[in-house]
Amino acid sequence: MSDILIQLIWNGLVTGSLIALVALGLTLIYGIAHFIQFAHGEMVAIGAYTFMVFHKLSAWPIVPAALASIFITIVIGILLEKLFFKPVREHDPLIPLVIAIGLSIGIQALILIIFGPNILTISDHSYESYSFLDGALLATPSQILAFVFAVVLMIGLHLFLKKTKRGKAIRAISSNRSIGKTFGLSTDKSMMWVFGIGSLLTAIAGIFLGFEQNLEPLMGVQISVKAFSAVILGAIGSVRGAIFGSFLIGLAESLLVGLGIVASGFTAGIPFVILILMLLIRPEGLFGKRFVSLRQ
Amino acid sequence: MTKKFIAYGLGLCTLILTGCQNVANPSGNNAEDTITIGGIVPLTGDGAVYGVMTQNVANLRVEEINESGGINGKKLEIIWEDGKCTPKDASLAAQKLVNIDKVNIIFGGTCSGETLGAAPITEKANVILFSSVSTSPEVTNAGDFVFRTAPSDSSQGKVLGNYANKSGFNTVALLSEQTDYAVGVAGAFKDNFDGEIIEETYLSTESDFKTRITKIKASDPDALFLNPQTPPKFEIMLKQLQEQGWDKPIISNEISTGNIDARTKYADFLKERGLVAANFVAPDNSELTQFVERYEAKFGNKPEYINYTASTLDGVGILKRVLENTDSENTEAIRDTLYALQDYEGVFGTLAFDQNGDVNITHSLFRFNGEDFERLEE
Repeated sequence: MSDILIQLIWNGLVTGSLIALVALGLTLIYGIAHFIQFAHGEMVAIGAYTFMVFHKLSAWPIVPAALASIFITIVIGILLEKLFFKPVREHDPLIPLVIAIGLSIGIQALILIIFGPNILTISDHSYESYSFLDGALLATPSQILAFVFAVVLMIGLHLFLKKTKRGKAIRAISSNRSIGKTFGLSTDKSMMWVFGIGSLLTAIAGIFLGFEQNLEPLMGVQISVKAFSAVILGAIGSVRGAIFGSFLIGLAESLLVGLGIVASGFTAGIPFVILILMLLIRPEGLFGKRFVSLRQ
Repeated sequence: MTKKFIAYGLGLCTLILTGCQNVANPSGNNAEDTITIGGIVPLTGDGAVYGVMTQNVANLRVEEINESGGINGKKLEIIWEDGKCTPKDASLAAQKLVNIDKVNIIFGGTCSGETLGAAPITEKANVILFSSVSTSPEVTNAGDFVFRTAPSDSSQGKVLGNYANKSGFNTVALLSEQTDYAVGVAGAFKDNFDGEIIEETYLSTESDFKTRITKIKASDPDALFLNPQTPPKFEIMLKQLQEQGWDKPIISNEISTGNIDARTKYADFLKERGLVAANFVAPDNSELTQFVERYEAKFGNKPEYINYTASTLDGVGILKRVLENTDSENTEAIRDTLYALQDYEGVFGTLAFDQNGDVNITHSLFRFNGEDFERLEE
């Protein structure tokens, strides 16, 4: 069984990395805007599809195609905030929530209309896997990059929020919008940064997800469901909580199914079982007390 | 203010009335010179690959029937609904077709889950449910008004099970989707394979098979049976199997036989692993060849699944024949005529239905040679 343990842990880390990229955006947006951005999963699909358009259809090399895709996703993310969420910023959080659900359905439909219902691929071939530890671990280049990117971006985001002026402003606005305003901090700018950062992370998740599992209009739904669970698991609004929750879900799925503890047909239910157990034991989430400061 | 209110009110009323009229008579044709039937296929999601194809085949055939005089002078028309390859959406579609459009015949579903989801509604309303693609063994007992021109997967599971026995496989890993179709194939395979089966299942919403493949590899089976519901899942499986260095024989359900994209991309991988799949194939005949040419001329590509194209052509053909000789409003008479049908000469040869509405077609085995599938002698 130990033969596959390393591979299973790796599988879990890769899944966890992709969930974390989506979960971080979700938790940041919740932290500052105080509503669940239900259309966040669709930003994953926008990232993946725009990358496919540049890389496959327009034959751009991977790096420029990825940069163009990330840029477009960031612009769309910021535009969504300006056009749909800003006008209702001071309203009951239920209103932006409903708008987000509507946007989610609208974006899915738009992708369906533009690209059709069929599955699309980013590349026409699979990539050779690298073999490590005498074949005990096989990892594709995109998996390795996904993991490395996720870790680097997590550290980068942490440093951005802690060390930079803009990051501190975001935390201040998240903590208390009106006091932040009295100190001259711009809510508009903080919102723009948070939606931009969230979109950047999801675009990267979308590109890697496209390499891993190909493209379909509803590709954002499955991963965003896991990301929602991860965010709540770690304590909604907490960056560290989202990261921890994501890797916990990724590893739990991989290890519980891979080691035969849970039947593979129940894989999709694992995040929810963990979530329910966590909510029963610790309703405030794993990092609820220590890291909730970003939200309040 | 009052004027504005009246204007909005009038506008709303017009909208509702126009909307209602569209629902009741979508084509605008006179009911007296049109026979309207319903259609349920997956138009969105992974299943759309063959849902749209089935819709195109049926529409083209209906167009040709109408151009050559229709059915006793009446035009045939199909109102299509999206069953999304799920029982839930197909039952909603059936509710709409039966209760709002008041159709007497529904052509579909495509996915077995669609047919099984729609059957309870059509049975209750004495509406004919006529599928040309659903192959789950469960459809056999779905109801008295349910017919199909695609063979039951009990024969698919049987030929694959026998092949695995003959090949000397002691252990076969089964990677299977949790849908009515795939569960039906898996069940028939289990009934016929004498060795040990290691089964890993997944939901249609999942696309990450890495951990299941790792687990299957660790159990070291003699072969792997891929049992997806839709072509996209087959393609993702191949990608992840190749990435994890799968090197044992692969067998598959019929989904692999139509997935031209995937088998071109993974041609060498599949050839080296000696992919063997079950399929039902129409004998060579000019009717099918010429139809495929007309299809290509109209839609710009060949239909991906020749078997479903053929069974859909036979389905529409049988319905035409029955409606020519039976009152299209009398569904019990249509049902009885379908059961009594013994001599319909279709693309698949002489077709007839048994007492369960199942057609007399069976599956055969095919091996992938790197370019296409060749029939295996059994």
